Amino acid sequence: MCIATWATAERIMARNRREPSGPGAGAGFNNVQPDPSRVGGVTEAPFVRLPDPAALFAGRAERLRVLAEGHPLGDYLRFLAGVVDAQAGAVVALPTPAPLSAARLALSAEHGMPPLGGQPLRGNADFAGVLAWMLDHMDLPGAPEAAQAAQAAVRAMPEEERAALASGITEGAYPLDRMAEALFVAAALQVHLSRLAAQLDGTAVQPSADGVCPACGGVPVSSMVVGWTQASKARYCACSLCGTLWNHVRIKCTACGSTDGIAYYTIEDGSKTVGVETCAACRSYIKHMQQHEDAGLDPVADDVATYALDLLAREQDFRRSGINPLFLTG
Amino acid sequence: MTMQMSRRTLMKGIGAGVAVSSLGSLGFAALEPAMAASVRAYKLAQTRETRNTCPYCSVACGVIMYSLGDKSKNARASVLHIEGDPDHPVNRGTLCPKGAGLLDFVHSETRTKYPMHRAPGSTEMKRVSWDFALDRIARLLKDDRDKNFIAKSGDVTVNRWVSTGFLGASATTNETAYLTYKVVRSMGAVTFDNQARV
Repeated sequence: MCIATWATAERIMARNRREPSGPGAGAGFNNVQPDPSRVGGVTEAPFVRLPDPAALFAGRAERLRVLAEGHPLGDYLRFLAGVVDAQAGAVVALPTPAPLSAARLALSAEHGMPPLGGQPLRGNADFAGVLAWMLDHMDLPGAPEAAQAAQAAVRAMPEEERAALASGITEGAYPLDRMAEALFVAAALQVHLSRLAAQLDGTAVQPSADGVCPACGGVPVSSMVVGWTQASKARYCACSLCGTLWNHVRIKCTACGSTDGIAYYTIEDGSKTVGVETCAACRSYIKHMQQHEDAGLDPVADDVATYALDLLAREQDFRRSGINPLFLTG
Repeated sequence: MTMQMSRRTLMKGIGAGVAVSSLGSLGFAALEPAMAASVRAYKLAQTRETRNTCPYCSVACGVIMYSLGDKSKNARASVLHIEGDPDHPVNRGTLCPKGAGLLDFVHSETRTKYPMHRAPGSTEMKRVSWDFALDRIARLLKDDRDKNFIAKSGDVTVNRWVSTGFLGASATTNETAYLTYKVVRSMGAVTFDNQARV
C-alpha cells in the first residue's frame, strides 16, 4: 500500500470515529446488526420495481418513434407514439390521484390480493379525468379514418359506458365490436393505474399468483432480463396495465408456471435482444427482451415492433399469453 | 351478449383474425400484408436455458447453461455459454473464476469422458468399459482391505481400514452423500473426505 492511500485510509477512519454514519449510526458500533445479504455487495433482487409514470410514457413515445423508422408497421408505431404522447401529457398536466387508503392496503395485504385490483372505475373522477384530458389533447395527424372515428366515438360515450369498458379491460376482456375504442380507454387506464402504482410502497407489495401483476392484478405484456446493479440478469414481467415490473423466476412459464419444456426462439441471423419464451406445457409464448444488452428496449413499444416474432411463433403453434392493450392481435 | 376477446380466447387461439385486431379495427389493415411478406424470409432459431449446479465446491452455486440446437428435432445440442443463476439464493448470479470458466471445462479436449486405465508399467491411458473399471476397483479394494484391515487394537474391537482413502464428489445430492457415507464407512474406511472441502 502506498503512503498516499494509507494517509487517506487514516483520514477516513478518523472521520468515521467522529461521525458515525450508515445503518445503526449513533446507536454505537456494538449494536450494528450483521446483514449477510451485503456480503460481496450482491443484494437480493427487489420483487417489484414500481413505475415512474412521467419517464415511462415519455420514454415510450420516443422509443416508438425510433422504432417506426423504416419499419413495416411504421405508420402504426407513429400513431401509437401520438397516443403515448397524450399519456405522457396527462401525467404532467393532471394532479396526482389520491393514494389508496391504509385500510384498503391492509385488506388486500391480508388476503394476498393486488392492492389496485378490483377498484371500481365507475364514478372514479381521476380515471374519468385522465380519459377526458387524453381525448381532448390527443394529436393524431394522418391517423386513418377508423382511428379518428373511434376517438370520436369514445368522446361521445357516456361516462358509465367508458367505465364499463375500462373494467372489462382490467379483466383482460376486449369487446370485439369496440376494439378500436378499447385502445383509447386502455391507454387512459394505463396512466391512471401507473400513477396509483407509483404511490405504493414497493417493499410492501407481495406476490399474488404466477403471471399476475402484484400491484394491479394485470397480465404481463412481455418479459425482460434486466441489467440493474441490484438484480443483474434477473427476469421481470412488465404489467400491461400499470407498468409495474415484477420479478419472475427465469426459465419458468409466465402463464402456467411450468419449468418443463421452456425454450427460447429468436429470428435466425436477426436481433438476439428480443425473442420469445415458449412453454411446451401450455403451448404459450411471451416476448422475452434482453434489456441488459439494450437498455432502450421498452416492454410495450418493442413488443409491437417485433410483430414478426408473433407471426413466426404462431406458425409453430404457440399462442400468445401476453396482452398488449395498444396492440391486440387476432 | 357481445363477443369478447380475452386472454383465454387468445391463448385458445379462437381470436377472430385481422378484423378484430388493433391494426384492423383502427384502419391499419393495409400494413398486414407487408408485414406478413417481410416475415416470409425469416426462420426461428431455438436456444435452451438449463439450470444446473456448479460441480466445483460445496458452495453449490446455481448456473444457467445456454445451449443451441433443438433436441426435439434430433439436432445435437451444444453448450454455448454458462453463467451464474440470478435466481439462485446461494450465489445470486455470481460465480468465482473457476465457475466462470465452466464452459471451457465442458468443451475441454482433455476432459475425462470415459473410464480410463493405465496398466502397471504402461505409460499410456487406455479407454476401458465401466464393467472393467468397476471390477478392477472392487478387486483392488478387496485385496487391500483383506491385507490391511485392523479388527482389534489390543482387546478393543476397532474394525478400521486405514490403507485406502475415499474422496466424494461435491455436486452430490443428500441421497448420494448418504449412500456414499454408508458404503465407505461400513467397509471400515477411516480416510474419507469430500471434494467440497478442497
